[in-house]
Parts: sequence; C-alpha cells; structure tokens
Amino acid sequence: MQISNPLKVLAASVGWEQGQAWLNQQWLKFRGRVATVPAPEVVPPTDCAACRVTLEYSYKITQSFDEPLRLVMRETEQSALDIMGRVKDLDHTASQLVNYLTKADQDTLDMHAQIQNSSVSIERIGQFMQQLPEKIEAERQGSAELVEKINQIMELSATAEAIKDISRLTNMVAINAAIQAAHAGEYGRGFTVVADEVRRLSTRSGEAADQIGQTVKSIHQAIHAYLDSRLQRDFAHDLREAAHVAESAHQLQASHEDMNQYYKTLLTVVKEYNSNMANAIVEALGNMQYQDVVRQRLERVLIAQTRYRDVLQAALDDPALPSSPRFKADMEQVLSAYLEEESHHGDQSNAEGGDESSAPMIELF
Amino acid sequence: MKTIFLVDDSATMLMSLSEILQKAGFTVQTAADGADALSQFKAGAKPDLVITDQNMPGLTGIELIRETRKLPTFRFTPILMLTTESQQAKRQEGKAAGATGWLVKPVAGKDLLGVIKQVLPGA
Repeated sequence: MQISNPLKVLAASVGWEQGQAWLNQQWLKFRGRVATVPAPEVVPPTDCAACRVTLEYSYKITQSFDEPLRLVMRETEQSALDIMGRVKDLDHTASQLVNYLTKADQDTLDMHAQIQNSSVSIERIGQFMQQLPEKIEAERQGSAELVEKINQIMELSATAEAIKDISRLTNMVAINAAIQAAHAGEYGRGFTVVADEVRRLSTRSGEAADQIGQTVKSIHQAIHAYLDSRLQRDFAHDLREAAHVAESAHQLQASHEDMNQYYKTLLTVVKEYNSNMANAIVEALGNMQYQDVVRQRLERVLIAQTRYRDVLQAALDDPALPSSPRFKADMEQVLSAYLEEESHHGDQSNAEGGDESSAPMIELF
Repeated sequence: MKTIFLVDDSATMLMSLSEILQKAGFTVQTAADGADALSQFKAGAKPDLVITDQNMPGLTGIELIRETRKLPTFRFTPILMLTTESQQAKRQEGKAAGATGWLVKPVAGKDLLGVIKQVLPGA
C-alpha cells in the first residue's frame, strides 16, 4: 500500500524550509514504528464476501430450523395425545374386564349360597334315603294287609262251595220229593211241580256258586300278580332314582365348589394383573409429561435462535457492526441468556449433579 | 369425592394428569391458562386443590397464585406448582406468592398422588 508523506506536503505548502528536514525525519520515524507493528487491516464486512455469506447463511440456516422444530412440537404433542387416547381405551377395557369379573365373583357368591341350599337339599335326600327301607317295609306291610283282605275275599270262594253243596243236597231232596210225589199219584201232582221247581233252582244256585268261586279265584290271582309286579317294579325304580338323585346332588355340589374355586382364582389373578396394568398406565401417563418438557426446551431454543438472528440481521444491515465490540457482546448476550434460561429448568438426567438441579424435584413449603 | 383443578397450557399435561387423577378417584376440572383459571375461580369454582404450571401465556403460575390468594374462598386451598422451572429463587417467589409446594416436571404418577395425599388429608 502506497502511503504519501503528509508532513512533506504540509511543509512545502507553507514554505517552511527550515523545518522541512526535521519534519521529514519525524515522518520517517513514525513510519518505521508503524511498519514494525502492522495495523490490522480493517475491512468492512461488505467488502468481505465470505463474511457476508457466513452471516447470510447463518441467518437462513437457523431460520430454516424454526419450522421443523415447531413441527416436532406439534407432532409430538399429537402423538402424545393419540397414545394417551389409546392408553385410556386400554384402561377402559381393563376396567370393563374387572367389572365383569367382579360381577362373576358376585355370581360365585350367589352360587355359593345356592350350594348351601343344595347341601340342605342333599341332606334331606340323605335323610330320605335313610328312611327309605323303613318306608319300603311299611309299604310291604300295607301290601300284606291288602293281601289279607284279598284272602278274606277268597273266603267267598269257600262260601260259594258251601252254596254248591247245599245246592246239591237240595237237588237230591228235590229228586226224592219228586219220586215220593210220583208215588202219591194224583195227590202228589202239585207237589211234583214244586219239587221240579226246587230242583231247577238248586241247579241254578249251584251254577251261580260255581261262577262266583271261579270269579273270586280269578280276581285273587290277578290282584296278587299285580301287587307282586308293582312292588317289584316300583321299589327297584325308587331305589334307582334315589341313588341317582343323591349322586347327581353330590356331583352338582362338587361342580359348584370347583367353579367357585376357579372363579376365585381367576379373579385374584386378573385383579393382580389389572392392578399392575393400572400402575403401568399411571406411569405411562406420567411419562407423557416429557412431551411438555421437550416442547418447552425447544421453545427456548427457538427463542434463542430468534435473538441470534436479530443480531445477524443487525450485522447484515450495518456492515461496520461485525468489526465492533458490540457485535461480539450481542452474540455473547444471546448465548448467555439461553444458557441461563436453560439452567433454570430441571434436568432429570442431571438430577444428581449441579447446584440448581440438586434441588428436590418435589418440595412442600 | 375431592375436586382437583389443573392449569396448564399443554394439552398433553392436562390429559395425562386428568387421567392419572381420575383413575385415582378425583374429579378433575381444567383451564388452559392462568386467566381462564382465575375467571373460573371468580365464577364460583371451588376445588379442593389447584395444580398449576408456571410458564403460561398471559398470567404465569405465580401470578395466578398471587391473584387467587386474594379470593376469600381460596385462602387455605392448597396450590401446587408443577413446572419445568427448578431454580431456588423461583421457588421462593412461588412460596412467597402462596404456593403450597413445588414439583418439577416430569413427576411420576405415584409421586404426584403421594404429594396430593399429603396436602389433601383423607383424599
């Protein structure tokens, strides 16, 4: 760079010949000092293409970060809300399951009451079974009395035989009477008519007695046959039915007890799972707070970027600014303000660390 | 059934905390900012507990506490701050305004319920 000697020009202009040599010497000394400590070349940013490009693109790049960061905030918030909606549905489903099982548990209690009632019924059946032989015996005795009555009816048959004997004797007497009447001749004619009539009646009485005897026998045999078969059939059937009922009742009771135990076990297990799931859901919902923590952190980054761009914009507007101390101070201020703000917020990852973050996460006053 | 009033400008926070508290058997009311909360309080809302965020548009959490404490019905109502802010100076400011406690986000669900049990005996 060519530097003209201003002192030489000044001396020449004023005609100060005497001082010319001295001034010239002073200039040479000054120029020598300047030459030993070269002054920094002050170039306005507008004249530094690279600097301007740096400023412009720093501005544009940070500006381009803004929208994606906002998008991240919106999308993570929407995702968090969606997840919570699903968790809520899951929780609702789990609650319904527990409600269902609670109802089942109530049903089991009801069933237990029914089992108790069944036990009473079974007890009654048992008593019935115990009394059954006595009842059968009583019924047999009742049947025996019936048979005795029937046997008494059979005595009618003997009466019929007696009637037949009387009928035979009457017939003999009637025959004799007829013979005697024949011997009597004309006088015995009326008597002969009576004897014939008596003999005819005797024959009819014998026939009737015979018929009664046959009928009584027939009835006696029929009743005996009926009673025997009924007693055999009914008692066997009753015994089988009673045994079947008792067995069914025992099976029913066992089934109820099994079912009761099964429901109780199922309910206990599901309630435990549900309790674990409820705790997990609460923790999952609690973790959703991280979305808000991240959102606020991004918001602080966005604020710092805006301040940073304001400083860059000022430098682009004023080419002399980057070379001034104010530019550096502004940058420093943007950085320190961001770091200061960030330090005011809890950081779980460093909860054991620095002074601020070592403050309790929960404090009651 | 106790009523808890949540104040937060984050929909995520309102939804997650509402679910946690409702599951625990509380009735939950919400407001998306301090001004809305204050107007609801003035309109007659009387929760048993208020949980508020600090950084919200308009009225901050501490400002909300300051204004709420002026309402006669809220003089003794516990108010918890739930915020990402953790510095001591801000806590002291909250305490001076009338906050009952300070919780730094995120707080585990069981821890939150534990704190509520402490400030709401019988809950």
